[in-house]
Amino acid sequence: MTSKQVQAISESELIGACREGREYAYRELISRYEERITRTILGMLGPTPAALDTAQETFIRFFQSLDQYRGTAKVSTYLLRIAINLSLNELKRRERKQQKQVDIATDDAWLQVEDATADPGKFETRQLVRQALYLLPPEFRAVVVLRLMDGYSVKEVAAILDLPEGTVCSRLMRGQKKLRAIIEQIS
Amino acid sequence: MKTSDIHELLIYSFDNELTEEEQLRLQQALTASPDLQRVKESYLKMRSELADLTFEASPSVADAVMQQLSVSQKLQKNNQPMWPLKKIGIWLGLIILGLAGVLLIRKNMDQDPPEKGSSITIEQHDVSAILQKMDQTVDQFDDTFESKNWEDEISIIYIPGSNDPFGRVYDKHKGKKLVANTQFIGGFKEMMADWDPEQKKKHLQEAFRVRYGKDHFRILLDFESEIQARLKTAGYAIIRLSKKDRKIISRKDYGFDRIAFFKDLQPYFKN
Repeated sequence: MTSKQVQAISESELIGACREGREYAYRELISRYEERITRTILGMLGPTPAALDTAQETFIRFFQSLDQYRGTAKVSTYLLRIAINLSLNELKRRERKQQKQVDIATDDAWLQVEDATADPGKFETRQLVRQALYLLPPEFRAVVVLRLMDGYSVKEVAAILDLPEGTVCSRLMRGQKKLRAIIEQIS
Repeated sequence: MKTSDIHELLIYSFDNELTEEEQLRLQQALTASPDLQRVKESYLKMRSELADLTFEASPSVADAVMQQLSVSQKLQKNNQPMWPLKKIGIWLGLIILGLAGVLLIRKNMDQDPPEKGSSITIEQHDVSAILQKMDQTVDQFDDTFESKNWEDEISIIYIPGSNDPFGRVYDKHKGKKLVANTQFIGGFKEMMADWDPEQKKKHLQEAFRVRYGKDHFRILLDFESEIQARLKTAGYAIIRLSKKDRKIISRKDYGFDRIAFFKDLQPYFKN
């Protein structure tokens, strides 16, 4: 099967092929969602090695629970739900270890966040926002990352997090206020 | 109108999900309130700053995922359709299995006609006996848990009964069955502290029957909450025990984080 043919396969056919254990289907599914999932996880955990592990684990969990996937939610919703839950678990683990500050390892190439020389003013603002985001309590961070950073609608965020829409709205409002307060505090 | 309501309208307006009437209401509120305008501006600024965040592309996780999956399951690398004879063999096998299943069901129905409402399996056991040496051994489960259905490992899902978490478990998994080697235990001491055990049991059986009907997964009731004391869990716990090694293989405590707990419960149910 050529790569063009694989790319043209519908999502439900791809899931069917995954259930049959077809490797090309696994790879195609990863390639369709990897960027989106990784971005959300990076928003939740910061550019740490744990973020990459979490992205891997997200897909592994998804594939291992394919039998339970009924197609009632979109694959992206299901994957994001796993990704957020794993990220929240990782944040809890960090909290237990009292690693509230993100431990950013800078020696790995992929962890370089962006080029500081391109636009120094914007770079500084982004660094500030990024730093503040990682200090936001996890329950607010999940909503802020999904709605404001990744652009999902309130309905989609509610479906991903399995929360009522009203809760998403109130966390969003409070979350962005808290984030603004943190930015002002650290700047 | 409450501030929270108008804030909700504001948030939905960014999703283009307001009716004309709601749009009008929001517009009027924005015109009347400089504070609300500031909230809107702050929200939009934050959205723009966050959407602007960039992350350099990380290496693809595909190879690592495939490598890990191949350890746990054998993937078919061959994308060719199955050989027709193999397909025929599978179909024949399925037909034979189906016929055997029908015969088995008919035999069971002849031997053991179910009583009306008997499928609700809420039980009370001698909790002290179950708990004896629980953190070192699981031998004592042989008599009280369905020992025939598990050989080595058993997963115990423990929920104390103080804030009706079973409600959500039932609502989400109504009609499903527990996977093999899994046992639910619930504590109810906090709910009915002054009741005698018979009264508690009767009340819960009736409550579950009225609320959820029949055909539900079985539950072991721990009216005295001794299990909680032994497990020392602050909230919920999922524990895997090994009969062979006589020890706890893994244990996960959730505090009262229902979201994480209910998510992790999902693999323990089947249709």
